[in-house]
Amino acid sequence: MTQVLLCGAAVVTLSMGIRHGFGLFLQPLTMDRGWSRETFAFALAIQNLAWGLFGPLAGMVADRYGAFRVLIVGGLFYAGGLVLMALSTSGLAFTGSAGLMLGMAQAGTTYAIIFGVIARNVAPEKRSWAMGVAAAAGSFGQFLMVPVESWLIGGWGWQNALFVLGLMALLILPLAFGLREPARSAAHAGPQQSVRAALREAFGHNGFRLLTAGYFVCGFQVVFIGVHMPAYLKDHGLEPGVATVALALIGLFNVFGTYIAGSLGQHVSKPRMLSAIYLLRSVVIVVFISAPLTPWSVYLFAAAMGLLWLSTVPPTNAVVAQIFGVQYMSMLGGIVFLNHQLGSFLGAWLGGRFYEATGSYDIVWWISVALGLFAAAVNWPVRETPIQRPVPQPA
Amino acid sequence: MRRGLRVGLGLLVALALSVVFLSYLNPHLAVDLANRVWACF
Repeated sequence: MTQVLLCGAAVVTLSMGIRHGFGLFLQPLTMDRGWSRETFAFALAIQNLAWGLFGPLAGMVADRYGAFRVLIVGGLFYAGGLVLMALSTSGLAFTGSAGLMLGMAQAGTTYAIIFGVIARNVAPEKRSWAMGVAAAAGSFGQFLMVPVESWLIGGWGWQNALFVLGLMALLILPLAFGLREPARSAAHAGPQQSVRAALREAFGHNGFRLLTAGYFVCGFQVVFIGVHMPAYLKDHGLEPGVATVALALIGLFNVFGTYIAGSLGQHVSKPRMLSAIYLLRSVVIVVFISAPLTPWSVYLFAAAMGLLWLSTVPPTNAVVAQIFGVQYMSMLGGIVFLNHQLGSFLGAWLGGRFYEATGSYDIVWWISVALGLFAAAVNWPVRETPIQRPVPQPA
Repeated sequence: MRRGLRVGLGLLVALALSVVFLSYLNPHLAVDLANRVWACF
């Protein structure tokens, strides 16, 4: 268990961390290449969609043939994507490398894949905690890599920074060896199921549909705030340094939030906890946009949202494992995450769309509040009871 | 032993988090980071 946890945590630290600082490349990269911001933004939008779309596929391959193989391919794609991102001289090549290739790499190296291994190798009574540890490691990666990438770009130039990040991504390969599973280790989970039967079962399950709907909201809120908050603060005349400290506070408290959520998941109802998280997000947003905007109100908001930031990740995935078992954990986790990414896409896009149309973010803040209440409501009735499958009778 | 290990691990995590958080507050990095974040808008 310790080996799986350490290697899994290290992989998500790298895979979640490296991608988190990509926004820092916008200015130097577009200036050097003479590209518009749209070229850069389009590639990153494709990356997020590819991450979501390839997630279920990568998960299915990991469930059937082992996470090890997916991690090796994912690690190679990650390193190769970063190198090609540095070498791309046309918008199309950049979209292919920074967008498609890195999106596929993330699908093969992030939470859904690692949680599948954890779920199969950690006892159910420690599963949520273990997912919390891995998710907290991913949060730490995000927190760590922003200053590291800023330092790399400042000291070595953006192109060399991407080469260094490519070398770091290669570390996923040796770590994958620590996540090798014995062949058909899922056999102990009960009768084997086909992929088609697993998909039919999941999509026919009310709890799965509700969880998936709730996760859409997580993506929407987190990406809307992450992408548009600096502009919101700038519009209200706050100093640039306030956004930096807010970024640091979100990162710091996110580490605690994900770990606490995972640990609490062992002791309280996970769907109820998810409801509470989404409800609290709505409350925090309402207080933030209603109160006078000062640096301290931003810091308090950042700390509170940080605590709630990725805290939905461990309980959501632990509920999926608890209801459907671990045989197709990565594939089902990937499907739930696909909806998260659709929410992320809309959060980023609608933020800009409504801003252009109305000249403010007010409408999108209130959409976030309403969606939080919706997610709180849909998670509440989800039951964690493991699904009962008919046992095949001997002829 | 187990308790000692936990405390040690906790202190290590606290140290790592503090170092990273302080790096955000480093004046040089803070300005650099703010400029890059601000450049997006």
